[in-house]
Amino acid sequence: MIRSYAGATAAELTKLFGLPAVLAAVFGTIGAAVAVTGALAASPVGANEPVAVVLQAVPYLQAGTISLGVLAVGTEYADGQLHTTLRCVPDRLAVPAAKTLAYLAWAAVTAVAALAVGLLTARIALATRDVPVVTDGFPWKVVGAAAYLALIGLLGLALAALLRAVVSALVVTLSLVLVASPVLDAVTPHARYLPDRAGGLLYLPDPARILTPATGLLVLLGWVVVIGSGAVAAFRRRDA
Amino acid sequence: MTFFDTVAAEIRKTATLPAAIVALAVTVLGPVAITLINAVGVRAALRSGRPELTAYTSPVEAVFSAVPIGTVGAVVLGVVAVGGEYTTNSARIGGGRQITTTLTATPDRLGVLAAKAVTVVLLVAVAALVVIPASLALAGGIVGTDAPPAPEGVLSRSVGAGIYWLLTALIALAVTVFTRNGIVPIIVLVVNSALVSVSVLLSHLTPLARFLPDLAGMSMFAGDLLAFDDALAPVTGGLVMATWTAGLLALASAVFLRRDA
Repeated sequence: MIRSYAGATAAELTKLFGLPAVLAAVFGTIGAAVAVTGALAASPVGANEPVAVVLQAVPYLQAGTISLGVLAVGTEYADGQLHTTLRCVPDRLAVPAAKTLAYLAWAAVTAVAALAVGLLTARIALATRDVPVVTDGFPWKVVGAAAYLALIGLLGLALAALLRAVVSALVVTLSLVLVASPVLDAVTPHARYLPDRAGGLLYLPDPARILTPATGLLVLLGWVVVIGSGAVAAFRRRDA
Repeated sequence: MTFFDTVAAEIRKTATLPAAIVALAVTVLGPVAITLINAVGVRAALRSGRPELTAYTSPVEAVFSAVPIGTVGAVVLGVVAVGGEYTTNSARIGGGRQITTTLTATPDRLGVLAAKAVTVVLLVAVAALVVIPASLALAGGIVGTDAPPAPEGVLSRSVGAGIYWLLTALIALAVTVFTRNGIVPIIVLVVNSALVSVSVLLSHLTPLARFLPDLAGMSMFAGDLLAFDDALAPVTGGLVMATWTAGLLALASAVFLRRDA
């Protein structure tokens, strides 16, 4: 079983590498990291420290990994590619598992590359403004931000599997994370249980101290698991 | 085939797309739902005597802070009205695209694009006419007598929000004519319809950013909710956004006329 899962995962990794849209999402995310950290570091609202600048850029970068997650699954439904996939791997648990693993590998690489490039850009941009660069130890929060970026994209992947369409999954995930969440946060404290707010504690402090990074991670994982298991259940029962 | 027939065909085609129905539902139900939550929060803050708990205490602001959700619906409607034409059918039924049929039935390319624009404008206008008065009534009803006196210019801001949705939908339509695929316009425009957007970030770098279509247009309705200083005056902002829209539509027409379908 492990061998067949490994084979399926290898196949999915190859498939993702061959998708122009996925490569565009990866390089788009890295390019956006350069542009956004550069803009933040050059502007007066940005922080005066490379790590803080990169963390401010994470809300913009999540659109990249969300697109990656949605594209990883959604493209299967665009032109009946799923029929080929299921003929080659006639195991409806192995296919979503392999997709998830392949996505996580790609998303981790994308997130780490984007944040690293962002750190470099922020450092250069701050240096041109003659801001003294303070570095105290290893930036664990950047690691948390990378984990958050990969996991929030997993939410997009799960929703794409549930909705079986790229555009609707993109609309739902992006508007939940980028539009609904800030609007709700302005008015109700319960907004902290939304996936992006809870997961955001991996790299941002919680002023209210109700959730810790660990419980925030659990809340985000809870969203992913609930939507993902719904998607897997639907995938097993529905006609492809 | 008259232009009126083309518009009727486009309305039927767009309004029966599942994605368009969902987009209209988002435009109508999204702001109402957010207004409901906002207004309940505002009422709780006012009744407990701690108005500083919420960012604003007026039921009117509860409505206008929900406008971005409707913008998402308008974006989706503009994108699918064009993007749906270019989606490839399943290979089992020939793998064709709807645009071939559309242009065979109506070989007038400007007419098709104009009819699409009219369709999107009509659908968004109907949604705006329903949802903005309904949200205002809902917020007023919930907050009730605890509310501070209504600020001035509610009517002009309501009209401004509706115009903002219309112009956003038309920009989405024009951009999708360039890309012939809905994915990129959806990502870019939804990311940018958040109140804290890439445009807002740019506004910290250069004062010219206030002439970007979304920031200029937001001044029509956002009032104090706008997340940056020295915005344009509402009417100027509306005109700037309308100029962007007209320019993009003209460019889209030129591209649509000259390119192979």
